[in-house]
Amino acid sequence: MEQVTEELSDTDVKLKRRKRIIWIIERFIWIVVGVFIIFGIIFVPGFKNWLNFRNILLHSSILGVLAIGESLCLLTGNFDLSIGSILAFAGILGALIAKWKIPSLITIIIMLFVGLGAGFLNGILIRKIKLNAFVATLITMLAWRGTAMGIVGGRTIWDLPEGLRLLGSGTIKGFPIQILIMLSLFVFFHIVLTQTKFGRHIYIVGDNEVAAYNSGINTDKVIIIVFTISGTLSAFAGLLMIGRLNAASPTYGSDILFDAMSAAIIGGISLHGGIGNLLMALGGVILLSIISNMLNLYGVSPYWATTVRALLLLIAVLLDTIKRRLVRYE
Amino acid sequence: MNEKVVEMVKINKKFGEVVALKDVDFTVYRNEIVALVGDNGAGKSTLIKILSGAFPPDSGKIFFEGKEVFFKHPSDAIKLGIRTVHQKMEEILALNQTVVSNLFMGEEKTKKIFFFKFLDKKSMLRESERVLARLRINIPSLHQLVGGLSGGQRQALAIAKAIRHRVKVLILDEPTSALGVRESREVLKLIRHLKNSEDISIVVISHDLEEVFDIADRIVVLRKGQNAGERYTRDTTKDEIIKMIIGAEVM
Repeated sequence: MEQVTEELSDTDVKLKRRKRIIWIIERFIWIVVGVFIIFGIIFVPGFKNWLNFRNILLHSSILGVLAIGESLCLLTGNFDLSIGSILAFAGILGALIAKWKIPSLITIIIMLFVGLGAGFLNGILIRKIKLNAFVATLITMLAWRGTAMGIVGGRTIWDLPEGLRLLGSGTIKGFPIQILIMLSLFVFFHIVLTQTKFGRHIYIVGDNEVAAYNSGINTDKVIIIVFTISGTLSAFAGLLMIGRLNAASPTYGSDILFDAMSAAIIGGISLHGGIGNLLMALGGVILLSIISNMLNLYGVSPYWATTVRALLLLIAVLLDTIKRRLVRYE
Repeated sequence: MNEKVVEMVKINKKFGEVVALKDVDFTVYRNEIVALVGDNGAGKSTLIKILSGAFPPDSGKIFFEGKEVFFKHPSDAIKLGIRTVHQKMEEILALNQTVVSNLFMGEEKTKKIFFFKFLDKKSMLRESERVLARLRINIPSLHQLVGGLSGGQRQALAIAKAIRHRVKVLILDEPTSALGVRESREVLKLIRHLKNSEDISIVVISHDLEEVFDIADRIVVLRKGQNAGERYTRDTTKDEIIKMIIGAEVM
């Protein structure tokens, strides 16, 4: 009898220690962000000023919107390669429609619906036609990029109406609207993920799809909706991008996919699905922005930012493995 | 004790040319533990799948509480109170979700705030505590991830998940096959406790005769898709059951 209680308290201590480590790993990204900010304030000239912080957030906003969609896909255990292409296609389409002097609100609605349709198509290809997510979104990635290029012959469309630029470049009392939008989207989707049945189902589907199906969860529906959200957010990011630059080019967002995915993974969203949370993905987005900002201020070639990102990814994936091992009973 | 809850009569099932079940009868009485035994390919799983609504029989009748029933889908059986816990834990539980989340998987409770439905986490936690207490399942923290539980605790949780609602017939497919000795004993204790404390009939599929003699009130033997006999546990011996299973002459 005594032995049993001793054994129990021993595992209790182990459990508690594990819990503490997991607690830290789960918040690791914000600790790193904090360390980088302190480092920047002390060592990097020009880092510590309000305008620079604004720049970092500005740099984060489009990436952040895309990272939300990508994170949702990753949480279900899938991924979406087509976000950058949908961004470009929706942007080109919006700019073209705007040339016909159609009210901006209607243009925006059309853009969002195009993104929604593109995302829905991804979902259908994956769940109803049963293509592998990688192949399906590779196909649509090429398709939307190619179509965007083809429509305008690779050219850039300049000078957009004010209504279309408002969200991408407008400010409220000097504060960029797009930052506010990005942050509120993060909060909104965080609440959806943690407080609603649909959000809970996203996690369960990503964690164990067979169990989810056996428990009566409509797994196809969950995944199709998630891809539809990702497509819509990509189109929305396209709107922000053409608004910020006052131009639409079919090459927009051609390498942003890797940033969005790295941000999500660095923020602790697992490639295997079912683990992670959006506020940490936001941390990943901001960390990436801080790093390229610092390298910028130091006058380091931006190419090195990619190397630093590779290191961060490596660390993030290692941490994910450790975390997975810690929560298991062994 | 002698009230029939489920009565399956002359069940036949073919898969292509393979005869899986031939004129099989199977009865479950009220508040008993009946073990379904037989060699691999004897038709145990097929019979159980028919009872849980996974597919219909080619011919034969199923009566539930005296009325003939037809199952088109597992949900039809579930509606009547027939629930199955499958052999493979990994097809039932989500390891990176909490105990509560697993118990309510697919049936999460929500409450309305303004126009939006939010998860009702408090009420799910309270109900989980009640269910686990009812089954005397001891899991330290309900916020724990299921991946952190032992095999026995996981099996118990899977059973708790199945009978969170009132269930009349619980079908357990090899409930201890993946467990160690001590954990098996815990799960068997749970099954016995269920039978004694609830108005429930339990069908256990098992390979382990030791275990079958330990918990079952009655043993039904299938061989090559046909009834090979049935006995009350107290009236039989392991030798006799083994002979029925392998088809040797019964003395």
